Amino acid sequence: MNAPSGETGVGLYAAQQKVYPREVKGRFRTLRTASIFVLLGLFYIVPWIQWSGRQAVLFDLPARRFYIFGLTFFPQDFFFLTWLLIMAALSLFFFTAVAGRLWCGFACPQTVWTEVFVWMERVTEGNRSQRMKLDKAPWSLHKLARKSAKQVLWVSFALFTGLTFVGFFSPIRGLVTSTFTLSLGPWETFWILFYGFATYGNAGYLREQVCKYMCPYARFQSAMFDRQTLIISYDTARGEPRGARGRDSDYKAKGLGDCIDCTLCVQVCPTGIDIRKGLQYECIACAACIDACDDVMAKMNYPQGLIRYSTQAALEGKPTRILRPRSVVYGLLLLGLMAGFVVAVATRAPIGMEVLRDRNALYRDTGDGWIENVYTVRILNKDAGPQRLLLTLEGPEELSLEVETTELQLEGGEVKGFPVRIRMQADALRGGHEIEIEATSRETGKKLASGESRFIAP
Amino acid sequence: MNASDEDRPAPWSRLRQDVGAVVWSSFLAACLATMLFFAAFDPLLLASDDNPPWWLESRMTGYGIGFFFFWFVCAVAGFLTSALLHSASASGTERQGD
Repeated sequence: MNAPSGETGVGLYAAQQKVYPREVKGRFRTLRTASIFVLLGLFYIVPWIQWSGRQAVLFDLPARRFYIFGLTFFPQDFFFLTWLLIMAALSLFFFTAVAGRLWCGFACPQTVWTEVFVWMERVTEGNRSQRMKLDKAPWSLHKLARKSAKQVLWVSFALFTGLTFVGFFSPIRGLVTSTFTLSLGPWETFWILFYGFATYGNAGYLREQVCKYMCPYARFQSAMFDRQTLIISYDTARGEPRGARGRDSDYKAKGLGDCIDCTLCVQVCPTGIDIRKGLQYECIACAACIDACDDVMAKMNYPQGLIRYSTQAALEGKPTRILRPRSVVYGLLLLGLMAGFVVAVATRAPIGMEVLRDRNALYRDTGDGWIENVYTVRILNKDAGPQRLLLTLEGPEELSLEVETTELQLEGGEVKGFPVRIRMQADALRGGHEIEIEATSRETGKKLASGESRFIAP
Repeated sequence: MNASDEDRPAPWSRLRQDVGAVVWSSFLAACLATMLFFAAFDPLLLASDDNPPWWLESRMTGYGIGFFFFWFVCAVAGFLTSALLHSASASGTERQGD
């Protein structure tokens, strides 16, 4: 894999030219389309799913809680999010080691949205040669109509995307209503426009330039590659020397290889590279060149696969092994983390609890022979259903717990503070003592959570 | 049928590459910073002052300002880094490809 070379001095001030990738049909094209439908389908549909009376997936930032179907996560559960991110990173390592840049070609939002924008461009402005002709032509009513049709499609799709994105953070049904009644909040409006504009710019104009110049993964993924990683490669031994020839000519007698040098593989490439020069870091593994070349090979009655998914080992005639230390280590780590995550979420304490000492007074003399400390027990119910709780005190036996409200009940997802007092007979203890308040379920009698604090005596 | 050079994209200029790389990487860093910071600190608690600044009246404003603040700071670091690296050749360090 080439490191970015230092030839940036070339065309230091050259204007950016447009890439006009030629459209292509084939196995991998179909797979990419399927992947786009699944991923974008999920993105646009998930915010609309309801779950017991509220949006099923809602990252409610104003209320500082995340709802994911039956689960509610609080900032205290941040640990799970970190864990999830580590898992995501490790999956990327694993898939990169085994199957190369699968992410880039099939799942990255940049390429997925670019595909949709390219499709819209094709619908309004025509195929590659029509688009190139249209761009060169002087402005006319026809050109204006096609260009504005494209912009209308792009802008409305980008705004809808922005709205959907914000819909993960603010209930989407309300957002849509507010949009139509023009009563969106300032931040909602701002983020819809921000995300919409980013989609429009990245997918409409920057496209694969983002992969070439801005994406960190593109530069680092080679570190996860080895000779057994699936890559898109041109079979040099079979293809070279390349050259034009008649369809049924005896090209082998002329000393030619299988490549007819039609340059279709270059024309379909969205990053504009020539795969025949070998693996380059610009390649996003979209496999368009495979489809294009297979098509040409079929027309020439040559076997397909002159450009194909292969490994460096296979190209050198050595066996390809999927199981190797790198893939096994990444795979096992990933499996371990996944299993741990499922167990941790399943056995997550349904109650979160904090004991906060009253900051205003160290202790209070009630005047009738008792010394009191005042606390607030803050309890959050992470469960979807209600919880009825009983508080008990762990600590020196001279101390007793007084709860203002005997009925400790929290609705699903509710956070509540309960004032409690801990008291002792005057002179029973001196100085500070560690205490622990425990919350037990009234239904099951199971200890659900506990919080620590100190009791201070004169 | 040849792929003519005119429909191949010209490489981005150095300046454009710098801006693109810095803006994007600082955006990613700012996302991470915003997430970590606001997971630990509630913007409303930052305003528990007697005279909270006007921009801390709601959590959304806190998150928004926080995000752009982080983006700005990360971008400053990024631009400085790239400026220092690009002007370093005079110091006598030979870099490959320069």
